[in-house]
Amino acid sequence: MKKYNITFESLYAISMIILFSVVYLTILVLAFAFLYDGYLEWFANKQGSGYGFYTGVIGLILLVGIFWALFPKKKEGIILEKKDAPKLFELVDKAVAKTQIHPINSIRLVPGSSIAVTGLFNKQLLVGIASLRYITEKDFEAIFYHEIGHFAAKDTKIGSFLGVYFETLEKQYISSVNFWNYSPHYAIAIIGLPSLAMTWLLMHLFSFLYAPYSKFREYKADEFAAAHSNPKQFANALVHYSSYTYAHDVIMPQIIVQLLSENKKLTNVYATMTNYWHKENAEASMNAVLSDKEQFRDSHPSLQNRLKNLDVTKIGDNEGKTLKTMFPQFEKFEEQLSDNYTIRIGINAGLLDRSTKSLD
Amino acid sequence: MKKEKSIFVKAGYLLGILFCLVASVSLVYASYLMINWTVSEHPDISYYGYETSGQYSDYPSTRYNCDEKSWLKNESNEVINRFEIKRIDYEDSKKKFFASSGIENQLDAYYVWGDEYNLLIGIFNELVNTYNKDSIFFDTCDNTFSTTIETKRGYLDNEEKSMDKEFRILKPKAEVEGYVFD
Repeated sequence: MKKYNITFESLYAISMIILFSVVYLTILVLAFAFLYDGYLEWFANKQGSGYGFYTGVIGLILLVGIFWALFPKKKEGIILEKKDAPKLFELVDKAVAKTQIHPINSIRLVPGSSIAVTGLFNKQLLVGIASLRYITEKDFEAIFYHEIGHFAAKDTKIGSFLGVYFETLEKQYISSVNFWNYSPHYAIAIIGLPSLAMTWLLMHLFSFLYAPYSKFREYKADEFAAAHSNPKQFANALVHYSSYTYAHDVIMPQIIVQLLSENKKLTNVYATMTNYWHKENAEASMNAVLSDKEQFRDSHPSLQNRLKNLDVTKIGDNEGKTLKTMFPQFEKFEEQLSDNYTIRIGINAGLLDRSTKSLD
Repeated sequence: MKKEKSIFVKAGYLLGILFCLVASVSLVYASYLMINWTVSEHPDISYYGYETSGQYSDYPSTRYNCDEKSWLKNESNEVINRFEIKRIDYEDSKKKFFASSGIENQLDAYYVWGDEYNLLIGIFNELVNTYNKDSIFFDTCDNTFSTTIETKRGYLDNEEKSMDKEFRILKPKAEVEGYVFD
């Protein structure tokens, strides 16, 4: 018989899931009750709350968010086939067999730098295209064990489940903001304020409640990775991985913005970025991630705390070939995903229009 | 690698669990109230209700078509006029009673006074019936009518008390003279 270990964390997770589910259902009831109130006053000529116009509008905003969240986002990236990266598939299969988790259904190359896993039933490994040139096979293997740790603990299932609630709130918040922005008059816009305030508060409450649990799961996945590779290999990989993702997310965009404003053509933005990955930038990134202080609402613990949890005090290099050597045609994939990254940075910097889809 | 959790971490988790559970129960109750309200009976909107509550004082008249039932106003005016005319007759009969002397004359004058009072009551009842034909109209479009009715009701009550008082004085005198009352 399977033995279940009841811990504070698991009890907290259960109560959190209950609360998030109840909040979701309450919003659903609220949206329909408000819409009904509006209907009573304006269409049925029956007595409601007496504020049917206002409640009707708020109900409509909430309902738009609920339905909007039901439409899944278009998935970015390229699903890899075995022939695209045979060695990567071998490495993944080996790790899956070693840890005895259910097989991973697909590997997807995605824009950006993160390595992550997702999926409620369809297990997916997401590999940020920017990581191919910067981390070694051994780094990847160690990070991958961390991700398997999330699968093994069913974190992705819980994450996907709670993701629906987070997304609904986010969409309701965006609907409220749009109502505010596009209302012809402040007197009308103000009607949407209660839903704006409510969704903003709930979004912050959710992330506040979720943060400690999320950090706990990260520590557990770190321990899983350290146990299946070794603490030193994982710690080295973690620091290098964190360092290049910081560079990719914080330092490189500044360079891309400069190149875009000089009207430079960026056929392969990832190849362009390697020209700027020199010692100075690498050191700046490393220092930034190692000195980063943990905030309560962060979803991940600070690097310092993660290393402390692994009892690792000294960092080295996981020597070996970079991950790109596993992809016979990695530049082809980089070029395919290049525009996506450049356009995102260009839009955020105000250099490109929000409707930009291609740089051709 | 396994580390013992500090008392603060445990307390934090306990606090979190408690918060989640209390908030969940409160929200379930709030949802229950909302669902209950939604499925409950919702009566038709009564604009009369808004008037008496003191809110939206000009709201009902903007929704109620007063012109459509202006004949009711004419009818009420006509009944009020008749009441006022009859009141003159009534006051005359009352004066005659107080001016009369001798038990027989006093009794005759008292009965005439009583008859006039009953006729006045009949017209007063017509006033009330007219109001009841469409009370929302009068409260919305002519709220002086109900005040008029109440003033006249007060007047008739006083008159009735006055008549009772006079009869209590008259009755023993008449009985001494041999008159018998039921």
